[in-house]
Amino acid sequence: MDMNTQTKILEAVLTKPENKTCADCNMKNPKWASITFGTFVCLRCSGMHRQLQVHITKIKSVNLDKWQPEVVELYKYINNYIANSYWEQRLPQGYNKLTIDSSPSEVESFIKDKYVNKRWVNTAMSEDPAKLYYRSRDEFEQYARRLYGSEETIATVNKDDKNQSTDAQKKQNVQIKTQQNQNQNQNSSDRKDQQAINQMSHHSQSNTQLDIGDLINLDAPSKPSHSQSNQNILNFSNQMNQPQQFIQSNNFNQMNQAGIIIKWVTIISQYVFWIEYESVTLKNNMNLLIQQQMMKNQMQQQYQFQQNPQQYSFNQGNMMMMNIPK
Amino acid sequence: MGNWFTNVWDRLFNEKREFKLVIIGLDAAGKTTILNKMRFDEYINSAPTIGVNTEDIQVKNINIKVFDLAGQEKMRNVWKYYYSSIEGIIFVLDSGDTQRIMEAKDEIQNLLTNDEAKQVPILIFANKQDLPNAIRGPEMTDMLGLVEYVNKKTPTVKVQESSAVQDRGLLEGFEWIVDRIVQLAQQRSQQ
Repeated sequence: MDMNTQTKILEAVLTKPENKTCADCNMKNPKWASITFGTFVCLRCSGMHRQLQVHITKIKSVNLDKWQPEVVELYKYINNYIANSYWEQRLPQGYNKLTIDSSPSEVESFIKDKYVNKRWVNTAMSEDPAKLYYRSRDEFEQYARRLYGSEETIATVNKDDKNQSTDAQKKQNVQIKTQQNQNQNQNSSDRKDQQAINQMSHHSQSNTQLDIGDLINLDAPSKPSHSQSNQNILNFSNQMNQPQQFIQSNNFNQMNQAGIIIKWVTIISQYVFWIEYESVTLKNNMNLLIQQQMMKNQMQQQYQFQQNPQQYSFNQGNMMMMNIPK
Repeated sequence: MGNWFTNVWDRLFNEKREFKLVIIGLDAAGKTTILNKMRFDEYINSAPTIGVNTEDIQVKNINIKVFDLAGQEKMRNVWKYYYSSIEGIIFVLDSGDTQRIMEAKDEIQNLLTNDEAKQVPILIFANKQDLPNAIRGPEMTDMLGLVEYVNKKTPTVKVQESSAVQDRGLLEGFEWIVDRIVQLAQQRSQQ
């Protein structure tokens, strides 16, 4: 998969409300991902995940790493809420979850309890949602539908959020439920079910422009190539009429810009280190110069003293008189 | 200008000087942890490095400035800009991550074919030997295709087993690379 399409998809996935905060703490805008669990985590929690070693969780960066296509495919369907519905199912209500200010030892104990000791795991399930997805898509879809569809699960898992939620969100929830009901009534085939799931997983994202349907089309292999090329030509002609948009949408230009930025950063950093090195040697040289100047002054004083001691002592005496505070 | 000239002179002929090393390797291999272990002599749990991390350490009474670079896929393009201004390269491997050994092998092959990196000694830490499924040193050299490099008369490549958690093999590796750097400098000054 191309790096550009990957970043496009992941950025779109990150705009989901479920993925707005880290899966383990309340840090906003997570930019790292635990690809074994299908969650997005913040920088600090990703450090703790990496300490658990790769046989438990693998960490990838959203911006800096190339992902396998099947993992990107997984992230289209899974989100932090679905994953945490398994990992934190039995988490008590009053339990202090991690915050930005919690200490490293707290982070370590919480994450080890959550993923290694499996303290709050849903015991009714044999595996976590990501593994379920890899094993069978249908069961994963059923699970997700149950999670978003029935009121009971939302009530048990998401009580705190419900208390904090505003009226607007409640209205949106009502709208979604009606949509779901319509979908369930109208369609019974598998494809339609997929669409319903997509809509469900995007339930409060109705205002945003991107839709999961567009995303799937981005890298659909079933599209014939000649139609794509025609589309490209069409796009190109449109873009020629609007030069500004053409520049913005051209991926090659973006890659070039990134390359140039990285180049300049490295060049500048080299010069910064060089200047640092230079300044240290300069300081040493300055010390040498000062020492030489002191030696010269002493020599001069001795010379003056030898030439006419009276004048010298007179001068010194005057200086002494001047220095007395009275 | 004079300063610059003295710098170059010092760098070439004066024995009292500072080495510069660079630590590279795939992400989550343990680069920052090794550096923290060498610098502060304690195990610190670190978050992913963003950009560069520099520390000054002392090995055999020689000051070493170490650049610890990030190992994510996009950040690997930056590594090659450092090769021209350093005396040695340290490559860190995660011996427990058996799935990505081939990815690391590609990076090492890139390193060995780079014109500037060829001229300096390369130390490869087979890190995380404390893990139960870790690949041991000799097996690792075989898998990386480095047997002919290691068996040379004066090898410029070494694979060193290490564990930053258990403090195993780190000092040996650093001492080897310092010795190699000094030897190479002496050979070049004789020529």
